[in-house]
Amino acid sequence: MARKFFGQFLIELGEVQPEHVREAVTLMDDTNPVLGEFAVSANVLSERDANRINREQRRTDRKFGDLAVGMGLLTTDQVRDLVREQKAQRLSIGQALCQLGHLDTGRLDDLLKKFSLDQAGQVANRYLQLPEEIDDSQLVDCILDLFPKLTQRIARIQLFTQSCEKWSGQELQSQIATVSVRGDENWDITLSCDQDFAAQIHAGFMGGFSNQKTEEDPEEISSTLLDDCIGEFLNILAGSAMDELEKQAITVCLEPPVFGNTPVEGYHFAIQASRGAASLILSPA
Amino acid sequence: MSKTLRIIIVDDSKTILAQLGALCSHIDDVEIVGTAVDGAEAVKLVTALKPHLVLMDIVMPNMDGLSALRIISSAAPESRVAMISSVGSLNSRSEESFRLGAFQVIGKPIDPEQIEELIINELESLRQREGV
Repeated sequence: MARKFFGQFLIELGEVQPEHVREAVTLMDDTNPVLGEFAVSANVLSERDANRINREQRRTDRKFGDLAVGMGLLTTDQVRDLVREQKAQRLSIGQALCQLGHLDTGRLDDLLKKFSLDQAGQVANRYLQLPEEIDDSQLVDCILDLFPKLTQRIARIQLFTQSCEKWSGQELQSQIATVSVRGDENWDITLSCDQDFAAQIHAGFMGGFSNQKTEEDPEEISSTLLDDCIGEFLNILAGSAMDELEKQAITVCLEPPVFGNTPVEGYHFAIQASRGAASLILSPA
Repeated sequence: MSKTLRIIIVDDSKTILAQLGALCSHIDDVEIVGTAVDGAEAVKLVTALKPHLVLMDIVMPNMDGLSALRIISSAAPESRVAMISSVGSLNSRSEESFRLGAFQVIGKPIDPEQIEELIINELESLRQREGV
């Protein structure tokens, strides 16, 4: 058993369908305010200051509350109270599925208990045991560390790596982009994801503008644009890794993304994501 | 009387072209006079149109942003160039950008307010230069 989100667990049990989980996640996004919105509606932070913190958050992996305290806009006690209240009011995926009529309310507690038992002892991706051949790669280490941080920062997608296996032609999703890193380390980095995952990244890129929608129907965005979007995401991922490598005097350069290529060798990282489906393939070159 | 800031955006990503286009579209007195998807196209377009401002990616196919910047800096010195970098604004490639004539390096993911501030500052400088 691998580490997974509750929605995925329910799909695997046959309790709900993937489209039900997608619908529930959308309801959660619409219903659950992020901490900044929550602080503004609670009148402890102005909208202007919340925007300042949001802006800062796009450049860092620090949490909203930590930044607010650091900028002197909220006290630690205020953040603690806001987080507690936000959690108390938060609609969970299980509740959202029940509210939408996809799951029987009477079964939720039992399923949550089963999920806890299933997940007991599962490890986070940072402790994932990597094959010996790639365990000493600084680039791989950086990519695995930065990947969940950037999906969270750009598109509010939470994810973790479930497993790492040698590439053997595992099934890929519809959108595929690859960037190549060359120099002291040589790797091709391929991201494969479904339309839902790519559309959420697209919304993240476009969402910073007031005249743009923050959510878009993946069906309305062309496949080429979704590919382009994950190619751009990979650029940022690899570019951020290059920054980290440069601090360790490891010099590499980055080549522009290519699309639709299936890897021939490497390592396949199965990803569990809060939106859509994705996997990462790192191929030594 | 207002003066229009003429901009060329250069990026191989349609996503970034759309993102920057959307931002520029709601700033008054700004006109995107062209877009290019690689350095070679950018050089042709910038030398022909001589825009006030060029927003240009570093990592691109055919000719990368740094090679294009080197040519633009001598062929169209009146065009001010800001580089957009996925490798962060403190990376050695960013230092190279400044050395080759860029006046600013912006890191990705793009911060809309940073771009907006940059464009408004450029517009203000243009008006001062032109005495508007």
